[in-house]
Amino acid sequence: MTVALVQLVGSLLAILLLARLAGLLGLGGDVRLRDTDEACALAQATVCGFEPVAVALDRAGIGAVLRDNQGRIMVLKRHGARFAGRLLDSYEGTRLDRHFLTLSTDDPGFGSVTLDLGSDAQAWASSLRRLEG
Amino acid sequence: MIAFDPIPFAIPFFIVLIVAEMLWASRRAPSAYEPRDTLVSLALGLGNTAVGLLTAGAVGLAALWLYQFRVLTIGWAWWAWVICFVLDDFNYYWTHRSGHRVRWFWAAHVNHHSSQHYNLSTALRQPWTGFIALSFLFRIWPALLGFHPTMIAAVVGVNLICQFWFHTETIRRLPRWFEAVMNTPSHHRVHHATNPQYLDRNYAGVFIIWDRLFGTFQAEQDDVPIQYGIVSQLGSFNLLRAALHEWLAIARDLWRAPWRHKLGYVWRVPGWSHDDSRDTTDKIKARWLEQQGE
Repeated sequence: MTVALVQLVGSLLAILLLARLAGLLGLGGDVRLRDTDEACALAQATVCGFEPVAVALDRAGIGAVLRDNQGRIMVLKRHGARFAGRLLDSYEGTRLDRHFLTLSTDDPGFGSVTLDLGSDAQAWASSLRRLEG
Repeated sequence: MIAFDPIPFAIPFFIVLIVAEMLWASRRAPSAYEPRDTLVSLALGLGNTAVGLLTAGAVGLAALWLYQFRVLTIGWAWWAWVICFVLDDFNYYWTHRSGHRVRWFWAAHVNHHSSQHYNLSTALRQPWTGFIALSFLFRIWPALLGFHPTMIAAVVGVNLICQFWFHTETIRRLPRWFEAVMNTPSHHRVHHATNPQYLDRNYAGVFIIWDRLFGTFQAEQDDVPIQYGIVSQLGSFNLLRAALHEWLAIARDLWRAPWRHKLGYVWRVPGWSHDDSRDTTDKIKARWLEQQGE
């Protein structure tokens, strides 16, 4: 049992060192959305059959909000060196603060996403009211 | 049952290879690793080891109990080890296939897939709840044939070690004869992909022949950029969420579902819902195929 505990503590130290090394080597990096085409491709990969007809990029490229041809809304957020997306089920939890639009999903683990949409923020906030809830 | 566990001996090699892959990534593909993702993957591996220490006794007792009823006494000859290894790899294929097609087993296995990265640290992203899911039952039944539980435990450990090296993007393809028989980085990238054409493919552990035999093989296509992860990406680096999210989702569904549909949320395919409001991988693939036909 003592040997097992030593192995576990040693493994924990090794894990922390490896994660630190990944940081020191600059792995992951500062990933941003390049353009709306990239956001659309990511949305299509997130939900098969999601065909975007409107898209707004966060001004820093850390996320996007998209509408498809069926009126569904998807929010994309940066997740480490990748992007993750969710369809929005309701307007609940949507907040507008000047150029910043905060979108909440019904998945607490995914959390809410705040996007700097510039002058588009107002129009998107209005359009999202069409969602139920 | 764990008279010889080979995994602790492999850990130093795992660490050296992960460091080597990180150095490769720093020059060639910095986004192949993400420090927080790596930390979660490795912590899941450590948790799996700790849970294994606590549950190995119970698994061993179950195997020894089965061994009492063995039809043969196979012994320790070298060929017995070879047969035991191949049989265990066959069992791994079905464990793994069930791990993707039955939500109960998927709840334990999902955390191996929930990283959006595919690197050697992903290999160590192992479940904490395999014991609860009872997936070990798929692996211990050869005791009934007469394989000693100690031999079974050793080959299970070796099988896991043999699956480490192909969790990498550093190797594109290996010689054709090798790709035909063995599981490789290329085959296993397909398995970790969420691209519709790749879903539920390449369940193999060490030998890819099981997928070829049972109709689940899919070759990697060079013109298809792979998206890794799960069909509904976690979007979180929370360790507990990574380990337990599907169990929590099952609990929520069991609470909300009508009585006659409750068990469906446990034993049916992941993504199944009684009102057909969610996507299973079969539905995603069908929709994708329909799109291709347009």
